Amino acid sequence: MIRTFPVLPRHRYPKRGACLLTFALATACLVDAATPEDCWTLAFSDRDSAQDCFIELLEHEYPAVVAEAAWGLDDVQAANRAFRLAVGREPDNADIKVRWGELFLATYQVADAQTLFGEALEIDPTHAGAKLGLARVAFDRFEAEARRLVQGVLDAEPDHTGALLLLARLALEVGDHERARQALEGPVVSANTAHRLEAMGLMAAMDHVADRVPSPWEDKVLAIAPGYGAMFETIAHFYVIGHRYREAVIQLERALEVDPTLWSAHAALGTNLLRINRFEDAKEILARAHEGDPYNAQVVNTLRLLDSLDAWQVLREDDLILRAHPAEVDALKPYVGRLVGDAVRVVGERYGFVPDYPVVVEIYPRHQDFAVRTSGLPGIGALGVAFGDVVAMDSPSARSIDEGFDWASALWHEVAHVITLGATDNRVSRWFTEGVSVLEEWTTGPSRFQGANPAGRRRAPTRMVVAAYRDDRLLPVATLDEGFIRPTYQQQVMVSYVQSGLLCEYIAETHGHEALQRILAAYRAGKSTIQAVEESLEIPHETLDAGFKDYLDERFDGLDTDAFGKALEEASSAADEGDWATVATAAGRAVASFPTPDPPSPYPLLAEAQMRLGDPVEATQTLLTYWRAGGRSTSVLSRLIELLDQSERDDEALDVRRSLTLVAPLDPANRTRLGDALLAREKPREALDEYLAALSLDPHDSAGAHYRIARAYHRLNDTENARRHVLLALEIAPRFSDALSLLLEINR
Amino acid sequence: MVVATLLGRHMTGKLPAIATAACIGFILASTMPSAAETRMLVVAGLGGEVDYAEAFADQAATTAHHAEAAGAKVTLLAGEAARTEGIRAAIAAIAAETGEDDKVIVHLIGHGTFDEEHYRFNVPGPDPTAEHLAQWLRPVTAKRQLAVIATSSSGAAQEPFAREGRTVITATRSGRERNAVVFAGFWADALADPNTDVDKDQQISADEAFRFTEQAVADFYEGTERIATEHSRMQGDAGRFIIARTAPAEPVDPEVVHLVDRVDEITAAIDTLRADRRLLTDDAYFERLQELLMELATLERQIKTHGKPDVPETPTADGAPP
Repeated sequence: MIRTFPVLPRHRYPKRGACLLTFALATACLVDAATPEDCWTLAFSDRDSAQDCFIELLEHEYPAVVAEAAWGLDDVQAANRAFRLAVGREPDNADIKVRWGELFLATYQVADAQTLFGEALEIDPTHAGAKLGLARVAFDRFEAEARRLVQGVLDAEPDHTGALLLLARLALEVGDHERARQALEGPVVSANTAHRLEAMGLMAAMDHVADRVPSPWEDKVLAIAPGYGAMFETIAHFYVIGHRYREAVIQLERALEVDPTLWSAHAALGTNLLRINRFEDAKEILARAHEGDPYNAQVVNTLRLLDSLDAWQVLREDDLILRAHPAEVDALKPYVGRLVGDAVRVVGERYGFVPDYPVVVEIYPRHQDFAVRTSGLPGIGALGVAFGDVVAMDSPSARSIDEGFDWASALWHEVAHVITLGATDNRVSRWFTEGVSVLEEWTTGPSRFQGANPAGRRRAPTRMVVAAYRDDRLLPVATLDEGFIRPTYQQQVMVSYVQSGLLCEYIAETHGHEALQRILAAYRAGKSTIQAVEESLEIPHETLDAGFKDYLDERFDGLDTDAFGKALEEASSAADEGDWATVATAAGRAVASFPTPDPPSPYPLLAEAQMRLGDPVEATQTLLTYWRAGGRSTSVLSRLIELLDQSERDDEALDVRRSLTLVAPLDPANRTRLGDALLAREKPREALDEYLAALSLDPHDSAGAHYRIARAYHRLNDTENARRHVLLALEIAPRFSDALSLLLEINR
Repeated sequence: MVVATLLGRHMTGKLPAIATAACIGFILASTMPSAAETRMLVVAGLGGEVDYAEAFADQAATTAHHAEAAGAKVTLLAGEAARTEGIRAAIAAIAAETGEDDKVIVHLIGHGTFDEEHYRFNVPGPDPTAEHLAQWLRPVTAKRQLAVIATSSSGAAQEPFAREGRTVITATRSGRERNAVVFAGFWADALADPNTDVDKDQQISADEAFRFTEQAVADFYEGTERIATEHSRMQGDAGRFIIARTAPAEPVDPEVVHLVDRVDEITAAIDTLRADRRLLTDDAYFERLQELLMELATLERQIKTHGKPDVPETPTADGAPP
C-alpha cells in the first residue's frame, strides 16, 4: 500500500502540521499527547515510532485528525473517508478542504484536488494554502500559471515558506540559480523540519545541475533524516529537466537505497531507465512501483505499453537500434536506417560530434503510446522526443503527412538532438538544442528548402511566428527556455521552436556556422545560456537580441499575413464558383504575400487554376516550387508526379516520387510505384528495398509484389532469390503470364 | 446490355476501356466451351441528392460495363426504370431466361433503410423489402447466384437473401449501419484496377473484388480519420463469379486445343500440390512446383506464339506486371 505523507506531490514531508490548521485540530492538540504534526515530524527520524504515533490518533474524535492518521499509515482510502466526514461536519472549514485536496494531489487525482482548493478559496479567498495548492497543480502541469499563483501568495505573505519553496523550484527549472538561492534563504533554516529538508534538497539539486558534486547538502539532510529519499528524487527531477537522464537514474537509485518504499522514486526510476534504453530493468522497477502504489496511472500506462512492446521487433545494427511494430518494421527500416545514418553523418560533421554509439529509435503506431513515453516532460512538440541517444516518435501511421506530421523531418530533427545532447554531455539548454534541430530540418533535412523562393532563399517561417514577432511576444535569448517549459500563451511552445531555429540561423549567418559549435562547447563546459552566448559570440546577450530583432525585420519584410489570409480566402471562394481566372490572381497574391508550403498553402490552388486555364507547364512549375519549398501534401505531390510524367520529366518525377514515398512510407502502392520507377531507371537495389517494403505491408496483390521482387533480384543477378520469389508469385497465381515468362528466363 | 433509364442519362452501350495492360495474356478459362452463361441485374437506386444520384448511376454503369465485358448478359436499371415493378419484372425475365447451370448476379447500388424489422432498398415509388426481393428471386433456378447489396443498412438483408447456392455480399454488417456507404464506389474502382486480380488469371472474381473493396473501405475510414460506419460482409463463395476482366479474351486456335487441355491438367496438378503442401518438405514442394510451372510456362509460350514469327519473350520492360 502507498505510504504517502501529506506533502507536495512526490515530496513526502509536510510543510505544516495538521494541528496548526484548524481550531478543531488545535483543540485536539491540547488534549492529546501527540498531534498529527508530531507524528509527521517523527517520521523523518524514526518511522516505526511515527507509525505508533499515527495508530494512536486513529481513535481520535475529530475525523480530520483521523484522516491525517490514516494518511500517515498509508491508508489513503480511510483518509479519504475521514476527510469526507470531516468536511461534512465542518463544510465551511477551508483548512480541511485544503488538506483533503493535498491528499488527492498526493494520489494523482489532480482534478479533484483542484476542485477542493477552489472550494477552499470560495470559503476564504485569501487562503494561502489553497492558493498554493492550485499553484502546485499548475506546477505539475508545467503551466505558467504556477508563477502567478505563487507570486500571489508571496505578495500577501512574503515569508510563506511553502510558496518560497515552490518559487525556488520554478526558478531552478529555467536555470535561474540566483533567484532560487534567494528564495531558499529562509526555508533552509526553517524550524519546520519538512520545510528545512525540502529546501536543503533543492540546494543539493542546485549543486548537482551546476556539477558541484558531491553536494555538502546531501550529508546534512541525511544527518537529519536518514530515510529522506525525496532529496534524491528532487535532484533527479532537475537532471531530467536538463535532459540528463543517466544522472537522474543514479540519483533515483540513491533515493531507493535510503528509502526502498519510496514508490514515486520507483516510478521515476522506471521511467528514466526507459529513457536510457534499459527496458528490462525499467520493467522490473515499474512492476515494483505498481505493487507499492497502484494509484499511479502513469506507471500503469507504461507497464501496459511495455507489455505490448514484447511483441515488437528490435533490429540492431552498428549505428542503429530500431524498435518498431512488427507490421511496420520492415517497411520503415530502410528509411529509418538511411535517415539516421545520413543525419548522424551530415549533422554530426556540422557540429563536430559524431556519436560512436548506436542511435535507438522507437516508432509508435499509436500516439497514446508515444504520449506515455513523454509523460512528465515539458514542452514536447508531440512529434518526437530525444532522450540522449534514444529517440521516440510517432509512426507515420499514427499521424499522416496530410495532418501536418512529416515523420522523416521529425526523425532528422530528433537525430540532431542526439548530436547536440551527445556533444554537450546533455548539458545543452532547451532553446539551443531545439534551435539547432529546427535549423537542420530547414537546411539539411529530407524536406529542406531547395531552390528559389519568391520571398528569399530561406524557408518561410510559420505565420504564427510572424504574428508573435509583430505582437512583440518573442522571448529574449536569456529566457527563451521558459517558452518551452511554462508557456504563457497558446502555441508558445511551437513559436519557441521556430524562434530558436531562426535565432540559430541568425547566429550562423552573422557569426559563422562555427559559432554554433562554440556555443555547444560552452554548454559542454557547464556554462549558462548567457555565458555560452556571450563567450562564444563575444557580444552581450542583449546585443544578440537586438541584432536578431533587426534580422527578423529583414527576414519577415514583405511577408504580409493579413493579405495572405484575404487572398487565400478570395481564391478559395472563387474556386467554389469555378472562376479560375480570379483563383489564379488571388492565389498568386497569396504566394507573393506569404510563400508558405505549410497548410494552408496557396501553391496547390494556384496550380489548379493554372491547369484549368490551360497552362500545365506553369502549373507544373508552381507545384515544383511548392515541393522545393518543403511542401509534402501527398495529393499535391501525386498531382505533380502526374504532370511530370506527362511531360516526360523523368528525373524530377523520380525525385518527387521519392519525397512522396518518404513521407507516406506505409502505403504499399507508393512503395510499389517508386520501385517500378527505380527499376525502370536501372536502380534494382533501391527498387528491391521498395518492393520488399511493399510486400511487408501485406498488399492486396501479393503475387504482383513477389513478382516485382523477383524481377529486381533477377536484375541483380541473384538467381536464387529471384527464383524463390517468382515461385511464390506463381504459387498464388499460377497463370500469371509475366511471372511464367520470368521463370523461363531465370531457368534459361 | 439492356439499359433502362428515364433520367436522360443515355448509355450508349459502348464499353469503357477496361484494361490496357501491356501484356495481353492468353485467356484459357473463358475460352473453354460452355453452355452456361452469367445473367446480371444491376440497379441504381434513388439518390435523393444530385451527387448521390450521379454517383449511383455511374457506379451502376461501371459495374454493368465490366460485367458485360467479362461475358455476362446484363440488365441495368436506373432512374425511373428502377422502380419496384421494374426490378420485379427484370428478375422475372432473368428467371425465365436462365437454367440451373447458369449464374445469376443481382447487384443493388444506392441507399437502404432498416426499420428494425425490414430492410428496404430505396427506389422511386414504393421501396421493395429484402423479403420482396428474395421472393422474386425464388423462381430463379440457377444453382449459383450472387447478390451484392451495396447500400446502407444492407447487413439486414443478409438473412432474407440467404439460400443454398447463393452468395450474399452486403456493404454493412447489420441494418444499423445506416450512413451512406462508400462501398459501391470502391467496388466500381476494383473492377478497373488490375491489382484486384490477385491470381493474375486476367479475370476479376466477385471474391477478389470484395477483398479489394473491403480493404479500400477500411483504408478510407482510417485515412480520413472517420469512425468506420460500414463493415462489409460476405457469406458464401464469391470466387465462382467473374465480374470483370483485366484483358480481353482471345479466341483459341483449334490447333492448340491439346495444349490448352494440358494447361488445365497442370493447373489442376498445382492445385493438388498446394493442397498437399504440408506433407512435403519445403525443398520437395518447391522443386515439384517449379517443374509444373516450367511446363506451364512453356505451354503458355507455345500457345501464345503459335502461328506467329519467333519473337524473343521478355517480361514488360519496366518490370511492372500487367
